[in-house]
Amino acid sequence: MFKVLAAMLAAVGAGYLLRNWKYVKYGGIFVKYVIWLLLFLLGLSVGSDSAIVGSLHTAGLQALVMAVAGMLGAMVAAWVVYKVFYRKDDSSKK
Amino acid sequence: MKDSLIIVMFFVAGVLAGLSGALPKSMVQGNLPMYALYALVIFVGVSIGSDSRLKQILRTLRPKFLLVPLATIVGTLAFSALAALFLKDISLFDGLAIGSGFTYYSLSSVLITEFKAASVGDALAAHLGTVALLTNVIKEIVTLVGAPLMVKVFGPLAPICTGGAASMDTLLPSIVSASGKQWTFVAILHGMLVDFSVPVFVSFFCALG
Repeated sequence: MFKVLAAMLAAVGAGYLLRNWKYVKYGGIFVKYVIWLLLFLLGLSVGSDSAIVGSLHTAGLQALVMAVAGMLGAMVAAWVVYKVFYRKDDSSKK
Repeated sequence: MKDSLIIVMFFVAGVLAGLSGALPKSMVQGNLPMYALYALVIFVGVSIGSDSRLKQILRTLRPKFLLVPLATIVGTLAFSALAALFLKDISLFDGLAIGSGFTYYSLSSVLITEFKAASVGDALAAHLGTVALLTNVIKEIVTLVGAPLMVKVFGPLAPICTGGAASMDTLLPSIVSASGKQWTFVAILHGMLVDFSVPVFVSFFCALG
């Protein structure tokens, strides 16, 4: 994980140095394709593990409940923090 | 919406390819996912670095940004505990351990499977690991697809908090496009701190359970 962070920091530095190079903005297009590849690989790792596929119905239902609950909690807390600490100075607000 | 559908299609195609056995498992066990992740963070990093507003974003960095990862941890764990009370096969501490994955599905599922094997046996430990994997995969996919809706209902911090550890890499592009570029550094800082908290919380709750 440290290597990934280091790669990212180096890329930020490289991007800063290359900010006036006209081709640098095309990097954003590649992001989309790499995300597609990562999602495909994620699906592949689930589909190719017979143990995960076998208990998918029970595990899937429990995971759905856990995921919905966890996300709801995170969103409520995010809303409170935004409303109390950020709303005043978010210039993007319409 | 078209982009989200394409993303889901790629995931489903991956599952089907895995089920059919058409593609070798070595594709996911090898270095390909890691290289793809590196390519992703490098492209994202370059686009952040070349952003003309970078200086302005850095100037506005403040201690209150730490409240965002705190919201993620407190909110996720509180509601995960509540959900565990309703699921008869998931104990309170197992639920907290699963919630502490914060979308880091690969690490959290492996850690839970390892830590729980000694106390509850291999089969139940593998089951809990699978639930952790799926829970955190669902969180990541829902954040990826639903970020714009989350921003509309719960504000710009919502997809950052549901995105957990992935808010700094795989989910960063969708978060930035839904919440706005001014949240890029909040999302990265959040991802870094939550990322480091995953092994700490998962091992802590596994030890208690």
